[in-house]
Amino acid sequence: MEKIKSITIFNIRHHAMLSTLVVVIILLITPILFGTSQLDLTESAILLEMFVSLIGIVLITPVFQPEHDDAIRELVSSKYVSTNLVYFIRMTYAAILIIVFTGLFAVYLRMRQCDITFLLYLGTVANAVFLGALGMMTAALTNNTVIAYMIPLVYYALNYGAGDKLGNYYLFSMCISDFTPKLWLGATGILLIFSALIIKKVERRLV
Amino acid sequence: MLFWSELKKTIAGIPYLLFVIVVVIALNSQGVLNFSNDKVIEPNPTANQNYGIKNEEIPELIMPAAIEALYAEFLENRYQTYPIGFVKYVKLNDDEQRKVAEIIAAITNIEIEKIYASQDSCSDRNDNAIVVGDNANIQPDGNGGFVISLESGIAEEVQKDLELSVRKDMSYSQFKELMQSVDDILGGGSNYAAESLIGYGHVPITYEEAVRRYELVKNRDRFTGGYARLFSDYAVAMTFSILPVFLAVIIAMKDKRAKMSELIYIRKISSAKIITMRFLAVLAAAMLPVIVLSYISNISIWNLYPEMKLDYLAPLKYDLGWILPSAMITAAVGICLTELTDTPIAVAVCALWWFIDVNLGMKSVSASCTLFRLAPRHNSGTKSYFRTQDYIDHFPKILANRLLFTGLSIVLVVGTIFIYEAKRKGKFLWKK
Repeated sequence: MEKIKSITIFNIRHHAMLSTLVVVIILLITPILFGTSQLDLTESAILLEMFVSLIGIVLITPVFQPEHDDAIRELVSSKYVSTNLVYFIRMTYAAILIIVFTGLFAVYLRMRQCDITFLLYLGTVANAVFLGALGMMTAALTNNTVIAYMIPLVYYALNYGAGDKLGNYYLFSMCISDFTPKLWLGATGILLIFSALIIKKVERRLV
Repeated sequence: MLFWSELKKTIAGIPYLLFVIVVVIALNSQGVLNFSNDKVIEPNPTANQNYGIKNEEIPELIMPAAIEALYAEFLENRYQTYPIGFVKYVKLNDDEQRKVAEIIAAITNIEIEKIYASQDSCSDRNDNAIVVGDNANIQPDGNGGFVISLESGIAEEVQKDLELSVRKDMSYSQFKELMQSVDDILGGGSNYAAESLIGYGHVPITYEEAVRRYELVKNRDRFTGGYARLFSDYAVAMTFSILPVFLAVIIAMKDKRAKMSELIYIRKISSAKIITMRFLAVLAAAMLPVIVLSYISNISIWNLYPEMKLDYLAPLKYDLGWILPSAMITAAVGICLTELTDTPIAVAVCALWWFIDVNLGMKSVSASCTLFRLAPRHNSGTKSYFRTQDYIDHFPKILANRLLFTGLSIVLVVGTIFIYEAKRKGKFLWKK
């Protein structure tokens, strides 16, 4: 337990600070760019799906980033502590940060007399997890953080153009009062995260 | 030689393949790769054609429509504005609501108390109603029971109670001034701003106007220009205001990832040559697929206009004049910030810039080409190819915007050369 605690503190201090700062900036500029007073359910959904869910890309995508440098990867692999445990810890605190930051933003909206439901909150978390997982899977496959950011961002942009043609993978479905895609997005996101961790484990055995 | 080597480095590998796939998917999703079903039809006086709607500054149309819209928003105390492009709903405090009521009273000659009373009646109805469906409400009947009723907009209903009409002695300039004060109270960006009032003046396009438009499409755009413009609008907004940064960052970090930076630093070749060739290679790689796609898109309409004089170079002109400056600025930001920080921070910077810029244009997709727009917009969907006169009117603004971004990207590339040179001399090596 002590080991997990020290790994968590070290990783948050050295790897999560910049991501967390970017998330705070995104959440702070959102009310400036977009009105947050007395929004109805659809308007709250627009705000949460189009702005807040982006935090998933920032927090989950860089889970493998420190080990993308070959020298660091080799050094870490030689350590007694499993790299997968480190990845899992990073993944866990990234997910917790998503839940907390989205929750805080939802509370803020509530204080601004906006209509907001628990389903909207869960849907936003599902979106964030899916976008982040898309980045994490790309990072696992390519070992390149830049490409890992590219894929979820492009998928996000595609949703502007393709709209509900994306079916159950349409990110802005709550804006049209359809909550079913959130189940698919959330479940696929979790699946992608675990698949990415498995890929990393297999890759380490092969090298 | 160096250019080809940098180009090879850029296009060889998965990132470039992904770049091309994404560009194709993004443009295809907007339906701009095939215009074969979007023929510009020549106006025909005998056929019963609808030529569409346009906005004109006709006070007799604008004044009643604008005051009705303002009154409806006043009743609900919920005003839609676009202060910096994003939609923002403004709720006013009592003092501000009173000022708006005074303005409505000044325009309509209705006593301010009546206006206030109607607002109270509207909010009372809102407070006591429980919405059970889109159009159904449960309301207290006053005897401890409830009545279920169908409702079609409380504000509209109350509005009918009050006869709204603009005072006969109200001049249009006075009206504009008063509406501008409403916009000021709302914090700007509303439809009541003096320059936005024209949006309330809807008039149908006449046959003669439709013929004039068609002649412009035929003689100025030579048909292909309008399609190329629509293609460029989407290409810049959806892809080229963001994607080239990925290519630039990947290529700029490649030496570092391969641990070759120090080896290259000590070579004789000048920093100016390395950075310039790298920048040009990224641009060439980024522009190559879009030039091919713009011709695939444009060729789809060439057979729709037999015996007409078409401009076969239109796609290339718009590629180089409209799309290239966006590719230049995103690639330049990518190369500059990566050399400066040795991190992919440029991706976050460009993503945020693109995200804000694209959303800024939500209200003004039809024509938004202010000086600092990363992705200037000139888009009315499939009607875009009709808007040749609008394009001619906006051309100086678009030109200034594109020249500014071209200039800025050159400045950034020069800055990158200095940063690279300094790194070769041992400066800016953050982790050393």
